[in-house]
Amino acid sequence: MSKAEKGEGAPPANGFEMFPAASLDGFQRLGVQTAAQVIEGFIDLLGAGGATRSTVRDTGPSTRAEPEFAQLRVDVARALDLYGELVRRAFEGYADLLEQRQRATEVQADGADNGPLTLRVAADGAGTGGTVWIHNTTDESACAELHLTDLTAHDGKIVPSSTGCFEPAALTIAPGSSASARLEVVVDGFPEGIYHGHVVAGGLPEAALPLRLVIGAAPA
Amino acid sequence: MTPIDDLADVERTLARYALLTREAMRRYLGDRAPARYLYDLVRDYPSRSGKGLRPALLLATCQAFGGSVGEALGPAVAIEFAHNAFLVHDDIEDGSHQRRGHPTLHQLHGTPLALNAGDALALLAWQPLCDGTPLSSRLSRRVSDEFLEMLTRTVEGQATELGWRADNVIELEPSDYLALIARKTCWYTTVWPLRVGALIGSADTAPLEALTRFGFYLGSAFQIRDDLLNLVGSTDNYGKDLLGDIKEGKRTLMLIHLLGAASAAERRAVMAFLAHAARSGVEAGRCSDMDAETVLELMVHHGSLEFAFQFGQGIAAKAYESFHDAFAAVPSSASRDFIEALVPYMLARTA
Repeated sequence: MSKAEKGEGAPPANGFEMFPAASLDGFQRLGVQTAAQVIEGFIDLLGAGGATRSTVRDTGPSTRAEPEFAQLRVDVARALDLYGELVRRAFEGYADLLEQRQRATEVQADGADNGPLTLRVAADGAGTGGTVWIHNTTDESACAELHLTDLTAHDGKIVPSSTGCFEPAALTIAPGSSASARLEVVVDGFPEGIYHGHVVAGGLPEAALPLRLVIGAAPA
Repeated sequence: MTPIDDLADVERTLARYALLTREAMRRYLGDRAPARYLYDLVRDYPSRSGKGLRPALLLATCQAFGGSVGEALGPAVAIEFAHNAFLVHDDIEDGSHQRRGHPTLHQLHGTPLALNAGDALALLAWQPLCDGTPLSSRLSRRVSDEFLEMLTRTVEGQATELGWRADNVIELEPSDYLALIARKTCWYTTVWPLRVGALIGSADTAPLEALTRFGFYLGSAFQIRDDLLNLVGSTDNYGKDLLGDIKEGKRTLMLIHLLGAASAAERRAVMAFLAHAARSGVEAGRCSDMDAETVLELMVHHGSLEFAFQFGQGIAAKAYESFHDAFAAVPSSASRDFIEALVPYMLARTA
């Protein structure tokens, strides 16, 4: 028999006249008994559940911890959560840095403006030029022999690779540094248009710089 | 917070928690577009004056277990959004006309738009749980797991109730009713707020089993009271369709008792009424040979209302006992007093 049924419940702290528990009649008792049966079934189901199973085993009110110890347990759990969170965030930040560094350790080519190189020349001009940069972010020195590919317009017209030359033609780039070469292209006699090609670096298969050659009054 | 001395104090405390929750909900609703076809509808039910029982229970439990309102506000907003989503869909499923004293959303805007607004509310409920909260990753994960479990149990309960009505299931016992409302109502009204409040407040160090037991008793007392208010409440206070449960053929404790206590002829008539209700919903009262008022008279005549009231009182007494078990290690506080006071409030409330 429960405390409520025996009328042994402590007087309510909230001032309400709570139920005269000792006088539970037939229907009230039926309610208690039926509810207990159904609810204990649900509690058993929950106990067998996965994600929502309580992480703390309930040993019953008589053996439950004193409020002071319960508070200590809460404080420790909160502190552990806080440190756990800090460790997780610190690890994620460090892992991000490592990934960035891994992504950055390669040899790349780019133009003077840290992007594709565009060279312009008037329709009656003889030639044009620009600067090619090679960046070496690895721990070893790299050598690059520079070449220009054929440059092709949308209608198939070609400015051949032989029109370009590099000074110097080969670069040696120290670890963690960059080096540049001057590219000159002779375009005398080629029709107006926009031609596309690449600067490639012999010895560095991943390094390629897109090149755009504009002859005449093509749009900027 | 002042000590809880009477029902008015409970309602004042509920109102304070409701205000906090509504302000936090506004941050999620803001000036979102499209307003006319979606967010105006989404904002409608939360702006009507509900009791805010669920967020209040969650916030108070968190505080009682040593946590702060700020830590538990996200989950409190989540449960209130989910509750409003359930209400929109319930009203459509039941063909209800009134909610919180105003026309239901589907009455105002039609079923398709209301249904979609209900979906939006259900999605919005996840947002406070996914946002960066003051909770650790571990606790956030636990709260989300609990949320998913609660939603699953609730829709299972709702499906059972709708199925009973659709198939005109008659042979039911009070235990079937309690098993139904344990899923349909208790999980999201009391069990989840208590479990999650304690989980956050205690940093997952509180045993949850006793709280779950308390939640089931408290939620059952709440639902039985709600069902009684549907039959004998005042229109002004209740805010929903009076006798709506009878018209919809809901298998309440009173109906189950009536079916067991009625004479053979009365039982046949009630079964015919229920069969008609299964086909017609709330319109049943206008079309059947027996109307909802007659069913209510039979309930009064056979003592079904008194049965449910006493049955609920017994459960509330058990809730009171299980409260003291669940909160035995929790220091005295205004929040703890408020939760304790919710037990008699469940039986005495008129709205």
